[in-house]
Amino acid sequence: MLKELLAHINGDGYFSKPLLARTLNISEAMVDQGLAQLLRMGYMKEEVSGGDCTASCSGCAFAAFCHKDLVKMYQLTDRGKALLAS
Amino acid sequence: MKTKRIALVGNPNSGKTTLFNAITGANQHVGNWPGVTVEKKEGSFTYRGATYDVVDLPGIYSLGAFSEDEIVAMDYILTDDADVIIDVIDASNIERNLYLTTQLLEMGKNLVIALNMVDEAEKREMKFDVAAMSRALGVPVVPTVASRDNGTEAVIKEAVKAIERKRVYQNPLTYSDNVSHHHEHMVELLEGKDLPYPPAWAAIKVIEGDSHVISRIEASTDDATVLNGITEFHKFHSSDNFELEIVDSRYAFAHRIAEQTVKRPPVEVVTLTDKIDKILINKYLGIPIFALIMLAVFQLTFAIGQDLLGGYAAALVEGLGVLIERFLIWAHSPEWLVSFMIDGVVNGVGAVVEFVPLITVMYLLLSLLEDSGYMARAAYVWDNLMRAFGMQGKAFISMIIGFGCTVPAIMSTRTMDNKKDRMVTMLITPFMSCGAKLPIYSVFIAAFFSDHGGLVLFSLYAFGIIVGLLMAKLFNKTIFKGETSYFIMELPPYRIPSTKSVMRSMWLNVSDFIKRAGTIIFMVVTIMWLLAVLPGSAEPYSQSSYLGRLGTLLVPIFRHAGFGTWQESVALFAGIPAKEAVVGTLGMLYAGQYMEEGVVLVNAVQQHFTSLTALAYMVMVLLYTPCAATISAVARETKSVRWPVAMALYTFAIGWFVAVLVFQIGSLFGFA
Ligand SMILES: Nc1nc2c(ncn2[C@@H]2O[C@H](COP(=O)(O)OP(=O)(O)OP(=O)(O)O)[C@@H](O)[C@H]2O)c(=O)[nH]1
Ligand SMILES: [Mg+2]
Repeated sequence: MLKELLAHINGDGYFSKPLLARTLNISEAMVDQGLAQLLRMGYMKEEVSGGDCTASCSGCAFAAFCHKDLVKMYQLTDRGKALLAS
Repeated sequence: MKTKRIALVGNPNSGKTTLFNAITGANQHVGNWPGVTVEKKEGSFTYRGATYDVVDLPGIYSLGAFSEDEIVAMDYILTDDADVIIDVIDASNIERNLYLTTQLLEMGKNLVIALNMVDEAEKREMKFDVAAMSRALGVPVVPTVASRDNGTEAVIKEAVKAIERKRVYQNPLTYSDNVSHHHEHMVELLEGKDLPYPPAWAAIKVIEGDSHVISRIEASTDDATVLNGITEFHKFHSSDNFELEIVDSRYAFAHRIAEQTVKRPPVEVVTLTDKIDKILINKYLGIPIFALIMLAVFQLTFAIGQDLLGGYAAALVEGLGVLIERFLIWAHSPEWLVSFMIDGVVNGVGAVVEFVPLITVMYLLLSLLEDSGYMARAAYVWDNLMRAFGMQGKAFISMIIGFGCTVPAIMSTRTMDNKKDRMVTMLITPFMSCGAKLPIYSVFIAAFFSDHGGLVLFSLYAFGIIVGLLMAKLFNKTIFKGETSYFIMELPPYRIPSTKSVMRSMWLNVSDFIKRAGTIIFMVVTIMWLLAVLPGSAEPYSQSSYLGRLGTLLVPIFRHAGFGTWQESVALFAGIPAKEAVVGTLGMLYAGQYMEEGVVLVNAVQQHFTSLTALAYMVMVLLYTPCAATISAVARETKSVRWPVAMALYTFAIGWFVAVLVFQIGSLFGFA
């Protein structure tokens, strides 16, 4: 399931959990967990997008705008690419 | 005889503590969110004359040492030998819960399953074949509703029976051929070495590379063949995917059990979301739809923010001005103070404050789009387009932030680990029209294009994006060559925007706008006012004032773009500390000039500009040198002087060039 999941995630440059769940015939909770496993095992990594305004920015007048979590982005690692190629 | 121990294990929020309380009569805290129990809790009960200890453990999704809670639970399972484990499963989420069950079976634990929350599952029309499940798993399964104390007796009964029975180790999983092959060898290596775990299980954990278990094995023996064997194995197989294969076998097992023993209502094959997404992120339709949506946003912004509400804000500022003036005269204030308060503050800062309704409506609409989940789709559509210009998906986020304020947009490029992508994004974000420029456009639109406000505003924003993309392409072809990183985006589900988060996001933008008007704009306008009324020998607000002389110096630069008066030139100069000051300065200068009538800024603009020069002026404002805060942000982020200076100059050059182009071509075609 995990390799298949990774292949589908990588497919079109985008994915949505409900759609993955339906294509792979598993529950969304499983997609969540599978994704967490792939991240944990280092086949893909989650990217931070938008600002990284942590404590260091709290004094900044623009800090409020900085963090924008519009969309979650991921990247396949070399390990992930190798797995799909195998 | 030692008291027998029962441990409660299961996923977070599966009802372990509820069951614990039901069994022991204790009153531990239960909560409808995961992670309520973070330490183990102990209690006891008597059943048919015998006393049993019960341990309630923190919820875990799997037996790995990943988080603090997992370590607490796992350590307990690995070391303290409970006589039986009651695995509490959330039936409504059976497949995911079965993963942990699979791992417990793999370990050879003496198990009783409490199939909890069957009431919830029934609401979702799930049906369980409990007998078949019990057969397939090889352990007793008892349906329960712990919160109503249903099935608790039966669970206790099965647990007590299981304690007496003592299960023999038997792993129901089948692994991939690859793993099985290595497993045999590893078992041979570990067999008879007196490890604290069954060799078959230990061998799997070694192959899987579970560092927590491996260090426990290594600590329990000093047999060199075992220690070397493990190290060698990992050295040799570092690029293998054993862990993935093993994890996958567990999923496959859990999936099979669920398929065989649970009946679920059929799911829709294609949902409405899929259909909407098919259109919204379509290769050809995506961008036009985005454009249409943005056009609608701008039209609404004008219709509501300007036409409907704008008048009230203007009236308020005007009324306040009259009041202040009357008060000052009544108090016999010196003339300079009246001039400063009325020309500087009311007409200068007030000209900016009048746009609060417009800004509010615009950010309200944008927050709505964001919160609905559409912006994530837009990011995807844009990602595709931006690749063509050599930019990556994260650049879109920076651009979106840039529509609010360029400074955080510049800072948001920090998350790009590709230096080239980062530089290119930084250099083009100033072309994303920020909120501070909105009042400037609005004045000119009100003066000349009031029938097509939304369209003109939309065109300006779009033009900024186009210039940004073209510049990105140019930079990629020349200074910053190299690979761009590509990302996979997760599309969140659509949802009805929540009032709270929309209001919050809108308020952040609006309050910042107001704050700026009260601080930096006030300061800039004050300085401009001083320059406009000094030296004392000169006629205030005239060309012979300091400001007039500075403006006159700048006039030749802008003559070819059609806005060749000193007021217009010096207002652009005032826009460098902060963009809104362009409007503030124009407001002050024109008001000073037509003092008697107390003219409205829009009327004055109509007298000084034509629609063509207004257009050229707006384009200049859109593209020219970003504000000082942006330039210093670039200096900070690049830790250089070269880049901020380069940015200030090249944006000015582009702004000037395009403004001249607009004016000259327009004149050629006979527009005025
Ligand atoms: N509908 C229903 N709700 C239940 C049932 N059992 C427990 N709950 C509710 O589920 C929620 C979580 O219960 P807890 O007992 O705190 O879960 P837990 O497994 O101890 O959670 P953690 O300690 O966080 O791992 C509470 O709101 C319970 O009232 C059940 O059989 N049916
Ligand atoms: Mg609990």
